[in-house]
Amino acid sequence: MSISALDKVRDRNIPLNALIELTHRCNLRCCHCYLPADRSLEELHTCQFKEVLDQLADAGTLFITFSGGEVFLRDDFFEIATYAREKNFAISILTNGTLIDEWVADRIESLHPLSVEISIYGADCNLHDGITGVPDSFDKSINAIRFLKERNIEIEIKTSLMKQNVDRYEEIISLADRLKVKYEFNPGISPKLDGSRIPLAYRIDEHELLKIFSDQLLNPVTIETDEEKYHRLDQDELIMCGAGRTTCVISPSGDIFPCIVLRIPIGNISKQPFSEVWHSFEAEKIRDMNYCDLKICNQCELLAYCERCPGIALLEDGDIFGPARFFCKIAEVRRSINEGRLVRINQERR
Amino acid sequence: MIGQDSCINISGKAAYRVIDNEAMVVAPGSNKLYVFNRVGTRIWEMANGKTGIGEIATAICEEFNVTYEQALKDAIEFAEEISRKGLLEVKS
Repeated sequence: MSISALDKVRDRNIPLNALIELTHRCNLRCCHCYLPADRSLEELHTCQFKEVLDQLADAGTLFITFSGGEVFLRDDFFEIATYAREKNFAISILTNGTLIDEWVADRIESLHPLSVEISIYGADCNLHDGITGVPDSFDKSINAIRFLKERNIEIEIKTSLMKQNVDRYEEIISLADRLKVKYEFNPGISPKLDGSRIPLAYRIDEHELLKIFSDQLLNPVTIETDEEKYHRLDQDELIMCGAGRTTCVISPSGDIFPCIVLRIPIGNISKQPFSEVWHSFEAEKIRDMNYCDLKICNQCELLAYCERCPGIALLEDGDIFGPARFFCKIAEVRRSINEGRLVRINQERR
Repeated sequence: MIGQDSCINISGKAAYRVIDNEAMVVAPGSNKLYVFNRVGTRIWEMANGKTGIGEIATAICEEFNVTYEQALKDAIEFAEEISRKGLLEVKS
């Protein structure tokens, strides 16, 4: 994207990216899921989601990610997704893949999605099904990848790294290589949206983080170190994310959030037009957060290495402006790795 | 080869949004995002599969105060370039 277009999107807070949670129903029972067991299952109707898409198009949204729960549990998924394509959105689909057969794969192909991202937690059924809590889910998800791959659809394996699979992530890389698909690992297990800390029991520790962040397959070394990036970016760019600025989330019941983790509702699309919500006082309050508000983080020596998440800070530590302790740990790990890299880079430059 | 009688049509695979007369266009497959200037965006908006490049050039020269020859050259070059990226379909 040209700088001018990027600037325009950022300066005018255009919600270029929207994630639409079509449903919170799911056919898997993943142990680390952030959705509470007693979550509301209220969902907008097909025509209401179409209205959401109309309003997002008017607001300038280009990228739509359809997520769940499991999106293919909605009978009207293809009606909604086809409408999104008619409105010229670029769409991506997050799914566990278990409901994708050849017929569904054909219909996905006709949508020309940017990508289909499929959750895989292990390279065999014992590990994967143990995490999802549902027998045969691994085989079904792998079949889905094969069906989609046969149709030249861009696929990415998404893996939450946790205690159960962190020692075996290389096997997932090999699996992805065999299937000729991309992969992405995420160590960011978050509390449930109701504040329950149960999923945190599966979170990996500092030693495991160090191993992951040291793996050059997952973190290719770039010449620009974190320190150099720190000096290049201004403070707000460094520490503030796109939540509520260029990103928004619509829940199954129409609540509008700044991002998937920062669950501060700024309105509901069935009660107010999106444009009104997006320019409301509540939304502006989120956007007004800046570097100066982060009283502890803005003085932190780890700032250059930190990818602080305000949503996790709020959910886990109770203060949107305070440190998110898990990200503090990651920053510590990145600093120690970077210090080693800096020594090597300086030696090579001599 | 695109000429003044060719018609161009936005590919069904493309995704796009026009903000302030600038089109942001994504090509699935490449996952690249392109941003068109005002002239490019106007050509994009007229790429309906029915309007010929010559007619598009006529509109461009009126709206942007350039000669017809220049507008036609620009429109053909633009259409050739973005059809190579899979964003436009051309009917000669």
